[in-house]
Amino acid sequence: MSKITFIGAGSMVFTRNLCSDVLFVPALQDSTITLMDIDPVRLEQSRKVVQAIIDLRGLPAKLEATTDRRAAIQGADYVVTTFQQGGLDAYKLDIEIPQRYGVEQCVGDTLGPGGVFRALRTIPVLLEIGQEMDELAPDALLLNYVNPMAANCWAFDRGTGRPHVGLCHSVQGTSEMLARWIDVPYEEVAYICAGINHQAFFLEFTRHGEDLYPLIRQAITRPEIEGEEPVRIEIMKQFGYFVTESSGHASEYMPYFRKTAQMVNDELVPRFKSPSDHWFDWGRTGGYYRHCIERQARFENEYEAMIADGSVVPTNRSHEYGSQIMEAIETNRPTVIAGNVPNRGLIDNLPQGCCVEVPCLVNGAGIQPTKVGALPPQLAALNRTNINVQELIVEASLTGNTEAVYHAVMLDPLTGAVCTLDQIRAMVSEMLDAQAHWLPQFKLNRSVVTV
Amino acid sequence: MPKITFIGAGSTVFARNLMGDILSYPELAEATLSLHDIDEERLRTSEIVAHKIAAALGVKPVIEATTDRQKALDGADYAIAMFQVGGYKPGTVIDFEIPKKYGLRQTIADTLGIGGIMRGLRTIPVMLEMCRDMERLCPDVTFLQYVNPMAMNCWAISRATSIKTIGLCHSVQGTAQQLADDIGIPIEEINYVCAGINHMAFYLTFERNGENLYPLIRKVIEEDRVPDWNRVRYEMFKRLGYFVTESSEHFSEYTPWFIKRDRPDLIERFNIPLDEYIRRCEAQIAGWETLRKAMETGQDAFEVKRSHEYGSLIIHSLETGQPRVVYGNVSNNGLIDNLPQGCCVEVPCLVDKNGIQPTKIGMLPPQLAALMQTNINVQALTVEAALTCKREHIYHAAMLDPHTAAELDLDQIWHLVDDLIEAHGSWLPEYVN
Repeated sequence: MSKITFIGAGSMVFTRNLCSDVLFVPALQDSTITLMDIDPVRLEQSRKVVQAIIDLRGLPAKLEATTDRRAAIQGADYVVTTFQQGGLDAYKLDIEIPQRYGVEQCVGDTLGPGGVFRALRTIPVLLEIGQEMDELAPDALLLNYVNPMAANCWAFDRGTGRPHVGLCHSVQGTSEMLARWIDVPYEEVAYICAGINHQAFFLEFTRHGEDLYPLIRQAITRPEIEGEEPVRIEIMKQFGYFVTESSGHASEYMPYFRKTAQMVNDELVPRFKSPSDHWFDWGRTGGYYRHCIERQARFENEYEAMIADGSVVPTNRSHEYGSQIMEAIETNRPTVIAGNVPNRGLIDNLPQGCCVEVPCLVNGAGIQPTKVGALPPQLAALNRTNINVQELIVEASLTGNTEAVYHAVMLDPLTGAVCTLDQIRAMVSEMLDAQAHWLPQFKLNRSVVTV
Repeated sequence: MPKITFIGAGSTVFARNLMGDILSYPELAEATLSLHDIDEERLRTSEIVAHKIAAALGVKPVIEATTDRQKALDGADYAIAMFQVGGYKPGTVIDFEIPKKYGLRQTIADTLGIGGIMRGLRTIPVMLEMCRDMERLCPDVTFLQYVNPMAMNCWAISRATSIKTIGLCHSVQGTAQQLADDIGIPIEEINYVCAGINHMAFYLTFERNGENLYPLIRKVIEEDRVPDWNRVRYEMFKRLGYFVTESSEHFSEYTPWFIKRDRPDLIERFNIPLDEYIRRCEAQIAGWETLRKAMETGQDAFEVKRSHEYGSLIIHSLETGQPRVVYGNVSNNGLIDNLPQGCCVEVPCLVDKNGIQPTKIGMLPPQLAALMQTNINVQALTVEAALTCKREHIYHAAMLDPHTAAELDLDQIWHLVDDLIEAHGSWLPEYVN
């Protein structure tokens, strides 16, 4: 019987999906699920939804909800983090301040000034959670879903040394999409995908040993396919491999696509032709932020009706790795996931210790990353431009040195392409001021944390 | 349906287990089993057994048998090696008898020691010829390699050929089962991570639901329940802090501490079965005719039970994508940081439709890595000798062997090597001075 704790459980849709998955697993159906959020209203909404799943499926699982994080962590076997520090208020600042300086971010949760500040807000909380786990749940495994994945996990590793894995669905999602494009049943597809979160590449994509890249190269000549993923297709044409995470995201991790507002609106946005790209507003600046606001409002309006008619309860297990990991550990039945883990000799041409996304074996012995070796050099080089930013974020977070924040944004490929150094300094200063109350680490500027 | 080639298929008992394992999977029940051996008579027995297994399971594989290796390998998806070069006579007997004249006594002599070196030197050239055939006839084959000396053979293959190879043994799962029995916990409830080199891997963790089970293993010693046949490994556990795979009789000859001239008390105290492999071979040969008749003519329904060998699991996972963990012997491309790059290491490997994917281990406890290094030295030099045909490296391998070096002086070692090369004659290729 496991205790599974969700920190940031007020993320209603995500909490529902992860809990539903967990409750599909026979070995986890008698677990205690503990939901924790600092917002009692949203916590209660999530509690009702999860309780509806338990009731409708008639399961023995026990459900708790608390705003007390220590109580939630106490005795946990798994701690799942899904919180968003600063919420949509902070996210708004992440998008709007940089936009005034000409940094046109579409999602802004991974890299760029938005990603940097999201990490700076998140890492102190993750480190506190790590300390509380040391004290209250020393054997617990952290499953981190909070973005920016790589910077957060890297800081957690350096700051706590605790076992953890960072999880995303971009690898599964992209592989499903590619299989659909080339009309090969997903069950028949095999792949090796590796790199960093949101910028991992499918090094192999095969069926029965047959390389499927030629079929992908054919598929992307079709206008409807090109219109679905114009940026990622462009990247594949230029770099030779298909990247995980969406075109909206991918466009802002490199300096090539979003140099000005005009370039975004007149050149990039028209290349998106598919309704499925609505969630990042077809590449427009701030697209995903607006989607988050709409989604939250919609769900808050509708969830009670959905509980009443049962439609809030998912009928299928999702492709999220969280429940698969817990199931594999509890039953010792092996599974394989794409996990974000410290690079201890896994990818030879990326820095030691940085956070990499590689295939991991999971069973009763825990999370066991497989060795990937060297990436094609152009992919490693691209990853390293992103890792530069992550490294400086981690440095800033663990030392409290604000200079490192400026360095991080200076090294961001998109920001560097559109701003002068003076502009970057002014922008970062403005963001530090605007977000100061979420950034406790910089109040202790002179006390250097040793790690 | 895949084509699976058995090389050395006249190893009938072993082939029977693997064939039964493979054919009991519905997804593999119509595979092509291509059996190859140079011994026609034994090959025929295995072919009969294959048909009996298929009949007992009610499945319809394609069964072929041929003494033509190239025909057997042509277009194979999987090749499984289970052959022995030089056989019991003359190979094995020479490996035991000549060292004995120098006072060098062995137990198994198939992994390390002077016997392991000579076995490696006999086997590697044949193994490489086969791989050359595969490079031409089935370049994408997955080669499941069961032949000892495991580490030397796999290391030579990875250095000299392009064939995708995994070396397989049952000592990891076998020892885990023995430990489970010793501490009275069902193996199904236990999970572990084991890593090192073949026959000398150590359980880095041995747990049930996160509970460390090593204290229970320690209790076996405290309560004086160490099985008589397992005293060496429990002694090593006491000294090193970790339990080793394979067996006490094997382990006693991988180190200088147990078989010593003028110390019969050690043989007694640790219950070391000298010449054990000779006895096993003799018993097997004596029983062979009866066993052969039973397998060929047995009226009883042929009962197919799953073995604990990894072979069929790997093929099934690669074909169906069902993820599994196997312990595989693979090239150390940064898997164990404190063992040499490129040597052959035994680590947990994820197998699914994406292939055989070794997991990263990192650093071993230093005392374990140091002990393995002493064995890897011998493997490196034997492989070097086999690949370069330079005779000097054979002497070097024997000089660096921990047991040989503890028992003999340098002149004795050189003479011993000379005597063995002469005795094995044409079973070895021409070595240059």
